[in-house]
Amino acid sequence: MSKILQTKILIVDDYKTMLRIISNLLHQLGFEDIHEATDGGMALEMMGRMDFGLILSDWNMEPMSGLELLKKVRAHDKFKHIPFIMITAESKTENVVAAKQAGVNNYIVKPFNAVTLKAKLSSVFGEF
Amino acid sequence: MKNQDDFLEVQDNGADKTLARIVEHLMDEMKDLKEFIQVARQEIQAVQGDVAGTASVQEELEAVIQASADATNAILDAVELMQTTIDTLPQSYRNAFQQPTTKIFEACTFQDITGQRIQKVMRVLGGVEGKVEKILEVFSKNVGGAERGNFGKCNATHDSIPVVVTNDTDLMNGPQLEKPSQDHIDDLFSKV
Repeated sequence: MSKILQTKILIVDDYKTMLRIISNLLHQLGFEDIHEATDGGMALEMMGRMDFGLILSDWNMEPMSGLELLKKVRAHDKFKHIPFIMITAESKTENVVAAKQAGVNNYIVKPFNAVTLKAKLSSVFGEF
Repeated sequence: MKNQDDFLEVQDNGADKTLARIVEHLMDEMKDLKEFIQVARQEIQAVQGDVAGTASVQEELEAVIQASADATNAILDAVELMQTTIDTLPQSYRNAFQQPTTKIFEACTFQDITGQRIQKVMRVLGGVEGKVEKILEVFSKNVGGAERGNFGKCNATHDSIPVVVTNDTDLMNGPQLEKPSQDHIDDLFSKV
């Protein structure tokens, strides 16, 4: 199995259905090591225990938004190099700008398709 | 009128009365708006068979979100079951099923968007209702026959006017009606 497909991925979304959908799409792309968190606090706790190679996060979550999670990840010595892709319904210019300035690697707008997901993952890992 | 002061007094009284009429008209419009919101609530409750009107609009809309989530999860259960069978088939058969199952997963993302849109509508409606109540409260305290000198001061102080604070929360606007394409987002992203 390609090394890329062995990446340990963390998906963060407060909608469990969306976690399930993204997980299934990642499985279809060949990824197997997929973990889920329903909020930013849980995500950070899991990151403290496991070494993730990618974070896919929603934005619109409470109490910690995806943007806040991104900022905490980028501020943390252990996590700051982990690729972080935002998958969100937030599509205004100021959202994209804020995420980019906070250090996001890429930005997917919901609803999205599998082709887009693969393209954004490829932008982080290279073609697979 | 004997002199300029008399003229000014007439003009002044006229302006006060005009202003009073305008304010009274505004109050009537606000009361109509409040009643409209209440009637709309009752109609929504009636559609859902909530004859007693005990369920709030918020509860009704949350029920819609939950129902669509349940339906989506049922679809995912079925597709995941299919997927386990598909994974046992020869590659050529697996390839034939890959695209349709992917399409089903993609289509299921509607539920997240639907839920966010409904929550956005609920927030807006709640905000409108709150504003109408506040305006009615302010007007009813301050307008009681706007006689000369009795129009009085507006009790809405700066403290009661919400201050817009720009922070991360202000960026949470939810799905847009006219959603920009992924290509537009990619273009914007590359320029930042």
